[in-house]
Amino acid sequence: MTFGYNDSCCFTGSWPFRKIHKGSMTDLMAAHKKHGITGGLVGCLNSVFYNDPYEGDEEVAKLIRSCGYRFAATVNPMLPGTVEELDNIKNVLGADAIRLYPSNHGYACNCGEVKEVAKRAGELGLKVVITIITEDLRLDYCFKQTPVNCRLIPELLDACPDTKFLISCIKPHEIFVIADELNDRDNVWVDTARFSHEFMALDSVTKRLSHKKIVFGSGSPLLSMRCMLLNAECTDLDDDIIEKIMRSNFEDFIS
Amino acid sequence: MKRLPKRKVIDVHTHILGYDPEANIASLVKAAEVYNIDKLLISPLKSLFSDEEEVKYLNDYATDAVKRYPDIFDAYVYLNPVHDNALELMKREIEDKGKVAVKLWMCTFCDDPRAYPIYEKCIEYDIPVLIHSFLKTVGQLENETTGVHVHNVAQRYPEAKIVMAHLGANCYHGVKAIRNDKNVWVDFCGSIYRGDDLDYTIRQVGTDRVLFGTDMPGSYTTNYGQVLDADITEAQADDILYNNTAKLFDRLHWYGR
Repeated sequence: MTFGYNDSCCFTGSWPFRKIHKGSMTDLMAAHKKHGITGGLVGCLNSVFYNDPYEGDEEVAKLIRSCGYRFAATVNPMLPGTVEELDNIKNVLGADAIRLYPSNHGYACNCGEVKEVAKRAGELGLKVVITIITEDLRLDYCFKQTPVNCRLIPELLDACPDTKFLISCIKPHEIFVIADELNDRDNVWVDTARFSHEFMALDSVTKRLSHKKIVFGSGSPLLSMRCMLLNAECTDLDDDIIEKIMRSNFEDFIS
Repeated sequence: MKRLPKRKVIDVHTHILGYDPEANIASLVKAAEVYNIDKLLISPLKSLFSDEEEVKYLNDYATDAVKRYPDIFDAYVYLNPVHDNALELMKREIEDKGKVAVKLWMCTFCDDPRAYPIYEKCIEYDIPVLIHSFLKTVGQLENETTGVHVHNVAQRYPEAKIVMAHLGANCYHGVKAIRNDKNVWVDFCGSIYRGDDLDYTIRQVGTDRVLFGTDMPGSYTTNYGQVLDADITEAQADDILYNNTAKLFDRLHWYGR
């Protein structure tokens, strides 16, 4: 691994269902530094279950940005005033993206509220990250996530052609279902955070989905960072493709 | 293809799945090469409730796989405790076919009395038994064992050497259930790879009772990465990756790989 990679899927903060032992920005930066990752898009775990996510994001946005990372604000499109809040998210918090949690907040990705938020986000230059799952559905505790129907995502992409989307924590078999639609559209990427179930998953995904649409994401600290890094280290893919996945594809998405 | 650096590793939990066994074998052989694995312990699986014919077919397939790749594979004997011939089959597979341990899956809960004779025979042979253990919030299968069932067996048979697979899926449930059962080891194989699971498990049971496994033909890097991420010393990582399993599974065959 060389220097200057990006992690498109990482977080800071606490999680209601289990103790996160390395949840601070210091922890995240130390882990990244160990593996040559110098930046990325960070979300705030605390905010996901706040009634007003903005309050949780306020606590960490400045810190995240001061560490040289980009900030993904937590947004629940079903809450009132969310579209108007996007201006503050952009201008006050300095966010580069908004991260949606449809499995935790319980809505379909093609509903009107999501389209409205995503459209306005695009107008503001905010990227939209759709988190397919946070925890493995089989491990939910006290609160059950709503499974996300990934087949509905292309409709959202078409409704907001000027918005850039990252589908995060999507599994390879879910990608395969919509791979053609993703390949046909230039406003969407996927991250690697849930490429965990298959033998040499990165190799198998790139057979169906253009490697230009894949960005490295670790899911850390919810998930083990080394798992996904090893996926990129042990592969039949050419070095220049890995380089794009680890670095430049993210820059294409976030720019 | 880039390879992982050489490090002594035994993967205690892999499969040949009866639906496409040759493809699985090819993946496992490739994995041994790419990931520098010293030994893969395979168990053959197909139906959730295998009939006698299927159990025989699967065990024969595993025997054949070990014969073809003796330096890579050793095998469990897969048993359905309900079958009248389970003990007879176990005897044949252990004594004549070189199987090194027993694998129980989802034919019964592991604490079903019909499985008792198998544990008693394992104690007699002094071999481990690997028990699938997986608590799910959604999609729990019929007869799918959890950590609580494993605990019941451990209490009934304190001399048995039990490996609880998958950390029971939800380690906060499964590991807690067997924490004080010193005759239970755990593997953390499979698609669950939460960032803190392995560290949590080690805090509960120490490193001596943790075995490395992957559940291949799924991912290898998922579980190997968890070891590299864990807050443990290199020596402790070596114990998890190799030493603990080599000590527990003392019938493994070595041909200088």
